[in-house]
Amino acid sequence: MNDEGQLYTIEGVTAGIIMLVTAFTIFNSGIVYTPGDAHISDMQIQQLGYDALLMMDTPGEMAPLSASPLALMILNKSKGTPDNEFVNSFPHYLSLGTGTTDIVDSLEYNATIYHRVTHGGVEKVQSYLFSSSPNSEVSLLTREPAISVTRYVWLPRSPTGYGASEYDNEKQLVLLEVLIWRR
Amino acid sequence: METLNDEGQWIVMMGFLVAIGMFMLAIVISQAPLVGQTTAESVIEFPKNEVQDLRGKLVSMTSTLPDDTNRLTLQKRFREDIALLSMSRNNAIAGFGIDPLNNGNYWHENGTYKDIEYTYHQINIYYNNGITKYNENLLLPEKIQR
Amino acid sequence: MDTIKLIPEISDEHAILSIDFLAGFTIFILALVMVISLVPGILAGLQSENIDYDAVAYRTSVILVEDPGAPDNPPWNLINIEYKDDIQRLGLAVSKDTPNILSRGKVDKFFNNNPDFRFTADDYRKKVIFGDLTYLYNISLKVDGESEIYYAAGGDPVPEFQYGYMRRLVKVKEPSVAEIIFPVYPSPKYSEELNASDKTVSANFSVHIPYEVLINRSVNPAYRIDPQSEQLRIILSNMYSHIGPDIIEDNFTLTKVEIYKPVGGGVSIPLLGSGAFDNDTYSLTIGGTKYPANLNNISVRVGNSEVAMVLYPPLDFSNEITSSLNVNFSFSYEFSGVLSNHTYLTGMHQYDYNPINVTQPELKDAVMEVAIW
Repeated sequence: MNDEGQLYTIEGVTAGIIMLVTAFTIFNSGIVYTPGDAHISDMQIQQLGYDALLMMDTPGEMAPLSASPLALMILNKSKGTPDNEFVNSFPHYLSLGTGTTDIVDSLEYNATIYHRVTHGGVEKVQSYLFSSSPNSEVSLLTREPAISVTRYVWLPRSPTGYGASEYDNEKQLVLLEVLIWRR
Repeated sequence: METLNDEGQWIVMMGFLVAIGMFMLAIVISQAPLVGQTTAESVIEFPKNEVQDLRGKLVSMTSTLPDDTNRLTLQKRFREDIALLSMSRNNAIAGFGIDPLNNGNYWHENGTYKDIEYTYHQINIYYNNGITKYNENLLLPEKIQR
Repeated sequence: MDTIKLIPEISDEHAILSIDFLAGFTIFILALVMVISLVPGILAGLQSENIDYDAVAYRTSVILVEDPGAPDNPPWNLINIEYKDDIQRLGLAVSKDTPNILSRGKVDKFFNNNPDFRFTADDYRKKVIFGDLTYLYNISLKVDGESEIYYAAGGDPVPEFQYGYMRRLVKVKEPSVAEIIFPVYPSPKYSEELNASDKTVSANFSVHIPYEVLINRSVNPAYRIDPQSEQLRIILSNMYSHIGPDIIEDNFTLTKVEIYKPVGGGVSIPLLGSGAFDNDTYSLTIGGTKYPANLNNISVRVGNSEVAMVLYPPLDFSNEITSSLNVNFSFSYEFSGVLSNHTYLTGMHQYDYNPINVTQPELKDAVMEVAIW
């Protein structure tokens, strides 16, 4: 019998089977992985932290290089004494809301000041721990990755308690770096 | 033996081509999580806040310096503080430039430009963190006291 | 005779499709169509709208908080409702150099706090949110010290999940106020003595608004008093401390309020529009009741109430940096003659950057939340 009549049919069926098998193999295999955007909350925390520092660094009155509330907090923390102003003000700003959505207040922070010291003609950057939230030590074990927010603060002089070789006692810019994370 | 009748093999070829095309598409798309950048990542990477902070500090110098007796010391201090601190902590080269017309003292009495009401002092702000570059020529007005 | 007919061979170029071919080809095409319809499934994960919501919320918050809007000079909140379409972008910041500092005038206009100007949901989508899809939104602002939370009109309540969200901290710049509380200024400032024999007098107390002092570009826009874009308020209170105790209370009246433009040499030009009641230029209230500036030609008994005059932006001639305005309050007094102390109000108060004269613009903390879904 002439079996030429099955030629094209077999070809077509075979080609169809190849394509369908390939398609199902690919789509069911998980090769194509689309992770969600895990950095969205990082972006929100970074913007919020920076906004909070900006709020605290805006002087209430007209001469813009008058010491802002943030500069006064830095000046009031002398060497050896703990800070008790920033630790109340910064978390307060981080938890402000309009009530439209539920805000989970679970942010911890750790603030460091970096300043330039020029004593003796040698320039170097010194740092000291400025402030940290009360539960920050405990949550260091289980925390999520931290976001860093920085701001330059203009100081009219150095905080008290530091010697001339530890802190320049003149008008200067210092860098306040705050690490924020969710516990 | 006769050669097999190979007409119609182009149909199977098309089938193979489609299958191979799908594989290539899957390979390309699967690279996206590795090399792509999400919107949130690019927002975090862009130094909007650092540049705004730097700009705000330098712009606000203009309202204080006319009263300050030691403008040059203050400018020098600002410039060196910003340069060292931004390099060591923000990994960025930041600073402001010198008025090219008047020998490095950009708070020159006559400023860079002048009109009836204001003397304008030009400062050139620059910021470069390796990924983003920002340059700006600012004209800071200082009101002429009459 | 040839009985063998030559049958021509049928070659493959004669477009005759065998059923075999049709069957095979049909099966192939069907399979191809099925496979192609599965391909968009790979790309579905990348094009998720949910990821987009946070990006749109972030962009909207940046436009609202850090952008002064378009047009900016003069600011868009001074545009009349007929020209609402000229507004391209609704940004609330005071200026490009002061991010996160919002102007009170723009905030009020954006949240439809003014009765005669309304934004619709369509306006918000075109001028703040942008994008091709029709997003649902909820934009709210809470100012420190105020109990009311402002919501953008046309918003919806936030759903339980799957929404993009951004929270921004801002400061709202309140306009300046010249609160002239007379006991603060000890006599003889702003007062003048009349002869004991004279019992009636009419005199002006004026407030001078010098544009060349106020419009100062070396002042940071967050602290600047800008008569072109912000309202100026004058509040007179506790006037009795400066008026001689001999005053007959019922006959201490305000006769009119006028606005003059000094042109030098002591000459002033009265401004039109201050005679008639003009809703857009000013608002005068005495003890809480609104009056037109000419007081309908009837003197109003002032008593111990507050006289408040609000000048809405843009003030007349505020684009001329060398001009100034004088706001004259004309009072008339009648003394009983029993006591000899007949003092009355006079003088010129300066509206400038001196905090003793004017309560400077205050920056109030506020928080804004933007939700998009």
